[in-house]
Amino acid sequence: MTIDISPITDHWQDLVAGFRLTLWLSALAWLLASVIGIGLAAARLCGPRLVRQLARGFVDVMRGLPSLVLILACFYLLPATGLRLGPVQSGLAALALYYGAYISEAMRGALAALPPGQIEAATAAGLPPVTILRRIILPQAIGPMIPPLAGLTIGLFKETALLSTISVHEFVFAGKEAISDSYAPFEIYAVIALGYWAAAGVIAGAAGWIEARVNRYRRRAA
Amino acid sequence: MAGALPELVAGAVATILLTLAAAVVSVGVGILVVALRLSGHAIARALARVYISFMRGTPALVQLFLVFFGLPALGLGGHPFWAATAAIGLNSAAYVAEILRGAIGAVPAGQREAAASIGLSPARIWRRVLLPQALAASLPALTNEATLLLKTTPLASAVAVTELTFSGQMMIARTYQAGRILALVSLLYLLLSFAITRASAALERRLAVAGP
Repeated sequence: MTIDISPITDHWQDLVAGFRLTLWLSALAWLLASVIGIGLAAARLCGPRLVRQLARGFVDVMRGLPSLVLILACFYLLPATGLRLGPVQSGLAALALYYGAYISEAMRGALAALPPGQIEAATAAGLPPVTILRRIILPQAIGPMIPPLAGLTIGLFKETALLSTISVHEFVFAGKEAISDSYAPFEIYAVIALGYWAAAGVIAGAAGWIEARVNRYRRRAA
Repeated sequence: MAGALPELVAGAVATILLTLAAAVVSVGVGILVVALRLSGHAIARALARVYISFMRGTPALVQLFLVFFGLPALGLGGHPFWAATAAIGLNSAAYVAEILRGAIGAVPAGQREAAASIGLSPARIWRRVLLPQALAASLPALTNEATLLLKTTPLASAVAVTELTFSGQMMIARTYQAGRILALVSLLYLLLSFAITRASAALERRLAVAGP
């Protein structure tokens, strides 16, 4: 197999534009998913019984479904409800709902791992609930949350590739267009893979840095 | 809509076959990769590390396209089902290798030392001592990976494998009944994930009885 780089240089601008949209979509979907995740985790930990069960049912359904099916469902069904949503908005909604469920599980896991004595002791010492959350719960729970959240962030970033199936003009879609013009699928997908790989490496590196920072207090305390 | 269910069930059967075939690739390659990852050769370790990093750092969809368009260049026919099996299996293998690496690290060092001291060869130590214990210990994590594998199989629809999602998409294109068809498709996926979780719970109970 001879590798000819002209299919890549010819479509470089389109590929860069696609990659840029992938980054934007990932960032937006991540923000939305975090809001949904915090809401779901709060609902499951301190909501009334019915809300707790609804949140749990939602999370279970999300975890049992393939993300592509959810993306197709949002793509076909959201516009039918009268909302004026294009593929980009439908795709963002699907990824935010899907990853919101997973993020809520990662948060819940870290919060549940906290020894109950911590909260009891803080309550006994007369700290108000907001102070308990800010000074006792969050500093201890955020450290263990970072690795699963980093994994989910990379997962979300990679999963935006599925939006190419509902014709969002992101990185893979730009690649498909370049291929229909040049017919060099292997070369173009190899370059696309390298682009994702590099960005995933940056996300993993940033997560490692954040993890080291939020766990600094442990070394000081020891 | 009367004809919907048989067609979707046929798609679900293809999804099950794809999941099983990919799981075989995944565990087989996963064991190979973890053996390289923990081997004494620096180059083998580096190769395994690059493999794991690439598979975990790039979208499975792009990996599928690389396999689908790369296999014919290697002289292998690009049959969509086998390309999807290979791609989804190779992707999952990286995660399986990481799961096994953790589990092998958790096997007490005395096990390996005892096996070496009674003269077992390194290959036998792997096959008879380390792997069985690591596989049993990582069963919950491997089950979780199996449901993730199931949820990766819809990607095969991108290379026109007629599995559950693709059958659903074709029916939507024909009937415009997106709501009902997607509800049925979702229900079938939920049933399949549930079946995997139940099967592994049963397996775990059996191993717990047979184990030490």
